[in-house]
Amino acid sequence: MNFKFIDISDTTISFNFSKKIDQNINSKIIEISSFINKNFENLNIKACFPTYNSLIIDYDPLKIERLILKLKITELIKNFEFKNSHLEELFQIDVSYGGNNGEDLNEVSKIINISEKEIVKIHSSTIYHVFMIGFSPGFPYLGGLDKRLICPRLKSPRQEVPAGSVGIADRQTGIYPFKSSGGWRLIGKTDEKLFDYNLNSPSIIKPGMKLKFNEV
Amino acid sequence: MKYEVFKITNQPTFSSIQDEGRNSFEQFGVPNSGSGDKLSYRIGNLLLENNSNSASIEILYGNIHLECLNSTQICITGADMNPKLNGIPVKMWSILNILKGDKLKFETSIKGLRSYISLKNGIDLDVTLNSKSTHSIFDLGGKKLNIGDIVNSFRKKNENNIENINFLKKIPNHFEGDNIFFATKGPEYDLLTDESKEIIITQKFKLSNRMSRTGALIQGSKLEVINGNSDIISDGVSKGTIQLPKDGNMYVLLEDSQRIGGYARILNLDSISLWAFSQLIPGDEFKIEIISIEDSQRKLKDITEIFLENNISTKNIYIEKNITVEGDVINVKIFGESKEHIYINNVPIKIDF
Repeated sequence: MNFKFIDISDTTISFNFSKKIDQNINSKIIEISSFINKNFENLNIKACFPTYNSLIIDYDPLKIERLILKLKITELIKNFEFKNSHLEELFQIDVSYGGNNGEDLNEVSKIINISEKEIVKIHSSTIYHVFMIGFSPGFPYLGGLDKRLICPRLKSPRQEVPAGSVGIADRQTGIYPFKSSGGWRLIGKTDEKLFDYNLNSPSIIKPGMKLKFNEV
Repeated sequence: MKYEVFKITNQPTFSSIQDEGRNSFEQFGVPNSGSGDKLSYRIGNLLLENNSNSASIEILYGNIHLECLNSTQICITGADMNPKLNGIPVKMWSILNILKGDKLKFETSIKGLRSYISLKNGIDLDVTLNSKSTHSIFDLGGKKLNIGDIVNSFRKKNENNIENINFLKKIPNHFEGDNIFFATKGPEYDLLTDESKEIIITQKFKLSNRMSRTGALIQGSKLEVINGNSDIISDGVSKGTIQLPKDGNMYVLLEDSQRIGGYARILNLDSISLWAFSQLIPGDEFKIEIISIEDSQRKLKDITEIFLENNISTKNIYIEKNITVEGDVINVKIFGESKEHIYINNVPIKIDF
């Protein structure tokens, strides 16, 4: 795997693997990131997490020299044996679509000219790839939205999106685990608790998982 | 052992409990949080000889009144909000002995945004995801302090008021500097037009009033990227990252920010500059200078190792005497750098000098 080493700040570096979103590359980044997170102490770093195309590492330059860290990670990536171990995990989420649970479903139906029923069928029959978690704790960036469901985001974001809302925007779909502001169009809602502070691994959905919505 | 130290007796503007921050949950979308001005926060714990990650009270904008419920030692660092103990100004950057019944008040800040109250042995609070730091939006760690809240500390057995007062000889210069902040080039710096690059290093910028612990909007000449579109495929950001949204105004990410962003990352304040930047109040002006990663890391090393080692001193300025007046024994305790705290039979006495 080829990558470029990019400094984000004096305490954060990034290993960038691609300029385009690619599920295979993202899966590999996630695997390396999970490995590093399990072998934290050996590397003397503060944190590591995956994005679409990069591996991000936080470190304390007083504890590990930047160049040494760069060498160690480069070595690790070059010799990494990919197992594709976590990729089979399929996580299913029950969603109530439309009505009060998905305020924008009706409007989306008008914009893309597909019936509400058909939108639900398409959205709930796709298997999505979790590229990364961000925006808010436990918020998954999902890839694989059917092209027929591409719909622009709201012109002005909602001040308050209820927790559990399932939204679509452009080529993406995702779930808001927390009440927050947001510009995605809401098509459904889940009652499942997606984030639990009391767990060691607090986000139920993890990078690299496969995810499917079930209509209830 | 749990030990009640403070009761909040007014409704503070925005005060919360913060430590070094929350690491290693970024992969689940959890922001770092933690104290904004790490230098001031760290000095407080250092003077009290606490563990370096001990939680402190971070006061934003001032305006907090506290009543001491049990004696302990505290240290006030950061912005000078004119702190007064029982009406008498107290020395910052130095250990203070406080006694039950003492009233500590901070005024609304005029210069500097953040003050820290560090408590001997830290703050007793449940740890959420490895940290006590508050993220008020996602309800992590402590919470925004409200009137009536109690702040607990720990007390070891037989721990008495200390006689040695550690203090800082020289206050960090980020309170009196001319507001020049150093920034390293971000991953998308080269997308900026030459004119915008020139604006960054020659013009003055101003902190707008759209700021919180999550981020701060900057006012100044608009910046542009070469192809006109500053959106990027969402990627890693850090506290101190300066993003450029479509409207051309810089947005600085602060400690409560998420770690993934979709706007061009044009610059990144270096650690030391970020601590100083986090002390700005809306309307404050500043300039930006570009620095290399190597130089910014060297500076970080200098301030953490050299500055802190060379500026901490200890003085024995605690005096206790029992005086007999007409047959009654009166206990007198005097402490404070300028002997501003006088207690007679453990009751604080206010004296106008």
